[in-house]
Amino acid sequence: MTTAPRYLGEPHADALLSGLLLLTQEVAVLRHRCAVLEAERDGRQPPSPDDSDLMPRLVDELFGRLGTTQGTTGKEDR
Amino acid sequence: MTGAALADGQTVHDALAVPTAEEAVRQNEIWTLKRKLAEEIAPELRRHYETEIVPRHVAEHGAPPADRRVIASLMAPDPRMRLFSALRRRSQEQMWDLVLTSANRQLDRLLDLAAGASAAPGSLDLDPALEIPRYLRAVDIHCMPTGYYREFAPDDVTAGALYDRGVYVYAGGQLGGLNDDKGWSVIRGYLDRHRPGWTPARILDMGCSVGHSTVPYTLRYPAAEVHAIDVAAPMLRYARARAAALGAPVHFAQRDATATGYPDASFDLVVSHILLHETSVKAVQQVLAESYRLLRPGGLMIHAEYPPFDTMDPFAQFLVEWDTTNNNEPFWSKVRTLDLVAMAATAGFDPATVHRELIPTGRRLTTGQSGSTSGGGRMQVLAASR
Repeated sequence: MTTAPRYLGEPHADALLSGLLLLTQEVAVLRHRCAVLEAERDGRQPPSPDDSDLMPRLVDELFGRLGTTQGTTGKEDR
Repeated sequence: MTGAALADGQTVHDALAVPTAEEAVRQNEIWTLKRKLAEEIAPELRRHYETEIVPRHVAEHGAPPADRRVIASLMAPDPRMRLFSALRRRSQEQMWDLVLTSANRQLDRLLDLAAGASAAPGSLDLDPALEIPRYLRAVDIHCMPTGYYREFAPDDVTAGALYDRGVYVYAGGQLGGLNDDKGWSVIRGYLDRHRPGWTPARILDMGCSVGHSTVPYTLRYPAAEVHAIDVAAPMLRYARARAAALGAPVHFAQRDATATGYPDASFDLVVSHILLHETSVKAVQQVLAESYRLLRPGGLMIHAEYPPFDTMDPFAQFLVEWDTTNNNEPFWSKVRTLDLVAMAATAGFDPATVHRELIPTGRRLTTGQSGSTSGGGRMQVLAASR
């Protein structure tokens, strides 16, 4: 196994970023579970697993804090 | 057999490590992150470079940055570049981890499937004594935790299952539902144009991994005997199961493309798809010499690889080179600087038959010019006739 490089200057920043990405995935899972339950309650088809805009919003937020003006946070066009 | 597609478009076949709905949600988050970085952040970095860094460099030195290495030194301290790099690296690591979790959950089924594939048309010939080249052992290529070759269970297929699903997520589906775009691009973008109506009797695909590019040759040339080699047993076991699931009669063998062991003049067509950048300069020369030895008179060699640096501007080169050190692709940059035409001539081919051209691919992410990491919708073809 090779050691992952560190890119961010602050102590633990790279590990914290990894955790943030994992946390975002789990938020997406929870949102998906809620959407499935709502669909079942309403008699609709379950939602697609790819119906999420969380990562683009996270990236915009992170780069926004560095002073850039990123693009839209709209849903990805597959 | 093939069936429906996953929600993200990957074609389902019996050997695929199909994610659960929640595994798919996690994998989709990584997919979306990768697209965001490639399609929005990389172009933003280019704008920053062109509007701020270049003018500053011109003011201080009288000229823009000379090459990709100077650009790298100028971009490295930039907080946006560092965040971009951190997100790309973590997304790559987490992508493999997510797919590996999904593949491991299905491992018993995949092992049974691979064991049962022996009755399907085609064959599998493994050589446990074959030495894995150092250039594949030295690092976890493209951060893939199994590498191509590591085994974790008897007759393991984990690395192959990981690669099949992982490549689809990595490429954002742009290699097609069966990840077979590179094979079809060579067939349609080169062979059908340069050798229309040709019917090669025996075809060899070198460095086939799980056979993504091999299977199209069985469809385009159904009368041909199609062989495919790789050094990695887990890839080949999975490739055999996958080809059986797709109904493709391929003869897989564990052999090194630098010294295959096949008799002279065994094949009419010798091909590879993005093999060269996974090897070394020495190995590339050996692969070309072996291709020459294996071809029958009138036969054709085609090695498809990512575009060379001389087809893109310095900033695109800089973005491409990111993978060399940050995505564990030690030969990713070097192969783009080689004079492959001269190397083919050194390997024995008549220089008059050797040429290089760029062919279009189905990849939608447009060019290295706008931030794609692999050369966008083009592929370099090195071709030569015996």
